[in-house]
Amino acid sequence: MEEEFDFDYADELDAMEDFEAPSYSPQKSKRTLCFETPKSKTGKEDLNDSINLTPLESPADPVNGSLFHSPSKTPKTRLSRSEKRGRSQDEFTLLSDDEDIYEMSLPSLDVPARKRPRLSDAKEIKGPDDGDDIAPPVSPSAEDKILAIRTKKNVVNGNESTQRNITQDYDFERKRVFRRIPSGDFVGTTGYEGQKVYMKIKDEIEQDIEFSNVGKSVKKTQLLAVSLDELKDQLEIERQQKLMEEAERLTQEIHSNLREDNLDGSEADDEDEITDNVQSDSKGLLWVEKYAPVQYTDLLSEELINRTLLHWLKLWDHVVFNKEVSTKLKDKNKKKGNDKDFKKKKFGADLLEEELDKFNRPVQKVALLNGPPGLGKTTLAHILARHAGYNMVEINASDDRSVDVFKTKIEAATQMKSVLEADPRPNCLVIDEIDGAPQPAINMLLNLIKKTDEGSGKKKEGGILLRPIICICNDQYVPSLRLLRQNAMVITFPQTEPAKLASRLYEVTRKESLKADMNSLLALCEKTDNDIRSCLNTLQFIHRHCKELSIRLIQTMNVGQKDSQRSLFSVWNDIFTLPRPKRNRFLNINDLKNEEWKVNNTSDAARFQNVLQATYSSGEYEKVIQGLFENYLECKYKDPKMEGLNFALDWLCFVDRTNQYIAHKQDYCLLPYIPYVTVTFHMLFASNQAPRIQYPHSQYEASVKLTKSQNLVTAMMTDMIPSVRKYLDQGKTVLEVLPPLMDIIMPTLRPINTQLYSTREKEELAQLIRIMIAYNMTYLQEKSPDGQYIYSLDPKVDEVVKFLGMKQQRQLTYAAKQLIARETSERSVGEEVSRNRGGSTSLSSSNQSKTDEAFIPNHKRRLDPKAVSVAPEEVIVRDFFGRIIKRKTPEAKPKQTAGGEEVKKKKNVLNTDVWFHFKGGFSNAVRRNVRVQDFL
Amino acid sequence: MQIPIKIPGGPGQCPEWAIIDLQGGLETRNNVSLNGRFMGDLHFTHKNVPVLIIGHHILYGKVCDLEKPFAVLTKKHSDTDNDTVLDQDNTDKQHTDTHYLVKAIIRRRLLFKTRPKPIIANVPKKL
Repeated sequence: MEEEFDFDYADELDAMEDFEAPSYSPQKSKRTLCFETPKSKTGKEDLNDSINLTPLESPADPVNGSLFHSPSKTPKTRLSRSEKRGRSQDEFTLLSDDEDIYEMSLPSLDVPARKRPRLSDAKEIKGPDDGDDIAPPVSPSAEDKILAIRTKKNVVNGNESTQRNITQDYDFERKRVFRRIPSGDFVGTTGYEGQKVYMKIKDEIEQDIEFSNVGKSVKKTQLLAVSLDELKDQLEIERQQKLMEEAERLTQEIHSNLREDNLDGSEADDEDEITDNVQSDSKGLLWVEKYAPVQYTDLLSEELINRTLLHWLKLWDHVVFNKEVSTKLKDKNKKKGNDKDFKKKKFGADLLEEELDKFNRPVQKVALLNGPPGLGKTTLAHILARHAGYNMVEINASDDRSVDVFKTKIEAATQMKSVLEADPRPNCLVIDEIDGAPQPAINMLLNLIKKTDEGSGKKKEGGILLRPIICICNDQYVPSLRLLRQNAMVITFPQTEPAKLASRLYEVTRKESLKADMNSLLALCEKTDNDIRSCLNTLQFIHRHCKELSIRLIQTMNVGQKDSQRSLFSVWNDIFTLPRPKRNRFLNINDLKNEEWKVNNTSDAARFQNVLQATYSSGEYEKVIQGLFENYLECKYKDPKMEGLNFALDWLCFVDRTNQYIAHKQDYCLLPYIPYVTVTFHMLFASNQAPRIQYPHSQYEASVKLTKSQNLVTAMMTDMIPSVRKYLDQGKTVLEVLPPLMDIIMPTLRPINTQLYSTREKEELAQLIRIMIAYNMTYLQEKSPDGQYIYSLDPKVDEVVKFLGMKQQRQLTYAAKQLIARETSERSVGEEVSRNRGGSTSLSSSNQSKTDEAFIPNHKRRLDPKAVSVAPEEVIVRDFFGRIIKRKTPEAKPKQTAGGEEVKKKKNVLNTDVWFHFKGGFSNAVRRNVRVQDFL
Repeated sequence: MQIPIKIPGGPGQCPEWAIIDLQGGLETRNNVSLNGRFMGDLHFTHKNVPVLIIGHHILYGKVCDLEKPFAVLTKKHSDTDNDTVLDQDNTDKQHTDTHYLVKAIIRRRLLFKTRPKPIIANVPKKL
């Protein structure tokens, strides 16, 4: 049953797959169904013909084929279904005859035997009926059978709900076979026993309905979770959605194109129109997006920065657009000359290098925009890129930043070009928030930038960078950006000018019909640290609540203030400079008495609070305090009695102690006291002019030096002679042993041959060597950077005790050092050997002396090479005529040789009489019986 | 019948010998009897591996403990001093005047069962 179940479902799946294929050929299935009809292979029409022509006696009748395919008008889509049905019916007839039999009230029938008469009757009927109108006579029963089989399957499947459905629809009691002529259309046939039986014929339409019903019920027993039709519907819906999106995108593109055109034209009217458009179609839009500048002139950021970046972008024109920029460049150079002065006044440094490299690219291939959030860096990049005729490609922090993805994106952006759009523009890559990117990704970018100098650069994969890249970061001092910073044009965004920002905000409020006065807007700007985004968001937030913006509202509101992290340098700057009295006339009007210190920022309380706040915001107390410690002496302050200095140092000591306690006990309750040291420093050392603050290095340098010295001393101590070492530890060595030792190992040695030394001098030298070995020191030859060979102490412990500014120690001469080194190495080897031998040598030597004379074991005896002497006997002595000269005493020789052999034998170890005959484990051992009498 | 077996120096005084077990035969070159001849050298390596050098052969063996110790007995007649060495520790009956003296106890044997390796002393320079 289960196999058939699978089989049936396989068919169903097949049918599902082929459902849409119109050219489904039922012949194949027919072949499987119509068992032995040879003609059925020819085709459908043939088959029908053959059915019509088949003699009644034909042993195997294509029952199903004739039933379901004879009505040639049935649509093809149904063909497959009917085929399916036919198959299942076939199965059924094979399977559950007994039901049929029972209902027919006939004795048990043979399947083919029963079929044959039925078919013959059907044939008979075909004559009178029109060929077209033939309704398959047995179909009701077939269909019923299908239903029955489905229900059975459902039982197997456990799909009871569908089963219930079917059973409800289906009445099992209906009579199928009649003995008398039923009303309506009928088919007569001869039963097995010869009597006539009649069956009703259903209307074709009715049957179609039932067929479709069957199909519907089938759907519920599918293997798929969702029915095929539903899936199709879903697909359709998705397709529609896609199309809609596509259309929308296209319209947007057209819009943007239009806008760009307007940009080029830069008509004020157009702009207004666009803004109107924006206003009209963006109800739920953030103001930040809504009032984002669309045009270069809209930009709020400092003009100089905008121009620098734009100029840099224009420098790419030669590469990207094949435009000649040189003439322009010269003009600009002149102009820039003026600009530079101007710039120097403002920034103190020129940002942009004007030259082009050999590929006609600007020297700085990357622009790094740097500044706190909300100043419009991204906006600037976008607008400038558009303005300069580029297509923006942005990589954001939210994108995947793995190296591979980064690389593919960068390559895609820099080497490809969109061809589909109407106005193809070259890409300009904007990497936003690059300070969050991992180091490998940035290294990849760096490699891309630097890939210039190879002559075969074009052959290499990727080629050289030919498109501008703009990187945007909040903190340019992130370690991963260090190298990039050196290769990029770094543009640091200053604060937006509050007046400029406030006026823009005023415009916005006017457009949004929010009542606001300039003062409150300025207050807002101050509160948000001139963060445009924050200002706008706050305004929008307020706008939702009330229609009027007042200063009090801003003062009391917590929105808009960021928990931003400040850089160390800004914190130090705050600490060491006196705050400038602000022109906060509009704030002074307010009588916020409890917050007066906030208003008057030059008061002590305000200074206290500001500095404390700055320290908090930096977060790295340790670093901040180190910076203070290293920089406070550079400050200009009046402290003739040095009391302030003392006080500050006391505070530093306090901080040190606190830190030690915290680190020691892991008890952080003292941590809040630490930042107050910055306040102390501010109060003591703040001046009007900011000092040049150096980044604190001494801590790091000291720790590096400490590790190095420790390593040296450890290296020296590990191989000291134990008797020396046993009373030394690292501290003692460094403090008490090493300083005098450096003098001890520098005796005066006459620069002459050691052989000529007096005994005292020899003694001294030996002593020196002993010391050197005992303390595991030696001299090593080294090549100094200027190419001279020098000998230096091997663990360079002299560096440990040498301090900066100390008097240079007297050095031994090169020759003396060489001598000492040689002697040391010799002696140490000798000592090693003697030490290794130690007791064992004495033991073995005594043994040896005893055994030496008595007996030398075989393996220790020297194997003298056997003298391969050319035996004089062997040589056949011939006389002048070639006759052999006979020996005179032939008998005497053997004796001699025998004696000689014996002598030789004693010499030759291996020529013993006894030799070993190995039998490879095979033994001739014989068990022998021993009798008792043998023991007696 | 009892055959007394005596240990000459009393129990515990008996010397311990070892059997050298060779998987082969000792042969002499020119049919001289082996009796009293120098056979070879027995050495032990650091790891207590016995090394036997016989002629130009070197054999490596191992030290095994015997399952049952052997006693080397000398048969003694009270009247005549006929020596017969038998490697048997069985006791048997005897005449009244025969007894055995334990010469040594054997608890271990040195088993050389590997194929001997040749020692090549002098390789002729020209072949």
